[in-house]
Amino acid sequence: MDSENEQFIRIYDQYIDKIYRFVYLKVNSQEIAEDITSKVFLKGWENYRGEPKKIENMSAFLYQIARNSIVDHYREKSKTKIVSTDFASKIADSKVNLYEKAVLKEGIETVKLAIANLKKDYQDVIIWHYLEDMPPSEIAAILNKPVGTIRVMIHRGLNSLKSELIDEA
Amino acid sequence: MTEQELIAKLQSLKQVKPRKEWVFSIRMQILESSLNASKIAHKTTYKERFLNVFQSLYALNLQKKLAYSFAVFLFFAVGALGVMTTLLPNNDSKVNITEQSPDALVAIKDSVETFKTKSQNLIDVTKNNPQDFSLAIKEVKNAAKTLTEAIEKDPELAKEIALEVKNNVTLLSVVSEAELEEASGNLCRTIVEPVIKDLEQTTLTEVQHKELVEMEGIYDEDKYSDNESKCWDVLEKILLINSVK
Repeated sequence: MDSENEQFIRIYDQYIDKIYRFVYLKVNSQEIAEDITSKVFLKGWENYRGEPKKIENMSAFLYQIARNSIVDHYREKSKTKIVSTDFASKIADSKVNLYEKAVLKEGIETVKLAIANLKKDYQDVIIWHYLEDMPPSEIAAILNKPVGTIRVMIHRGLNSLKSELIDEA
Repeated sequence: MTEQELIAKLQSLKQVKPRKEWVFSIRMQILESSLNASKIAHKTTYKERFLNVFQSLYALNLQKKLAYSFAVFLFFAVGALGVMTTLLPNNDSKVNITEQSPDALVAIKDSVETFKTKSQNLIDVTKNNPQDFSLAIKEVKNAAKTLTEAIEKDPELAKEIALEVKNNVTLLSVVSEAELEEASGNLCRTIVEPVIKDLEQTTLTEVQHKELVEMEGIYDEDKYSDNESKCWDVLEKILLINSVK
């Protein structure tokens, strides 16, 4: 029991920043990102406990839970207000706290907003490839798509991001 | 804007990181859920033990005659031993040890409780009142020191509280604070040494003996280093050998 627990704590330490960043960039709110990320790890622990060998690719496993949880979040949100999930991050929490102000000062808010304007699939591949340094083969395993398709998506995603940034400028 | 500039801008998003306190609190939730699960597992074993007692009593009933004769023999044997112990000269020290042990055990258990309470307080403070963090750290350090001193006085009681202390330290590991490491290391070494000595005097299988020698080697190598976590790992393995012996 203890060793399983310790193993998962090591996994937690390894992935917490990555999963949080992924969720935060998709929901654009610290509060919601914390809520969703905590659910990801608690769900992950529930599945891992007892049958750790069942999980072959930990990264794919955690990101998949994160993607599903984000979809659940927007689905829940759309019950009160009907919004396409592709545009949902634009209307995320307007509350700007100290943390977000600090982020704003660093001048990365523009890129963050440009990412939020991308198509959902492009957002994922751009974050994974350029921020988390994930090779196309690993992204292909998470999205269950051929590696070639992922390469094309990365290329197109980057071009879309470039256009977004030029438009905003 | 070139592609390189765009990628550099994207990389700047790596600065987005979660709050440290929040990361600790989720770590805690995972650890707590695991401890709760192990408590449930323990409850099952208690139930099993309870049933075993009844089964033994039932078996005893079938062999009543033999049991009664054995009880009478035991009664006389213990009585004779007691009389001999009281009548023999210069045996004060032996009497003192038997009289002292229950009190010493209670005192050590009290110290363990204080250590646990202060540790829990530190974890709560980390989550809810970060401003009281240094005070809570100091309290845990003091509690660990008191417990270390209590075990040093009665090392033979170390094995009684070893598992409880180890579990508490596992719970405390979410607070990775350098200040705690020295106190934690001293406490661990004070427990490990008598537990190893105790195990050396018991009968072990070949495999268990091999494991014990291996653990002694790791412990000796690391005895004078600052790596307290290795000491707790050694204690865990030794307790495991102890539990299945």
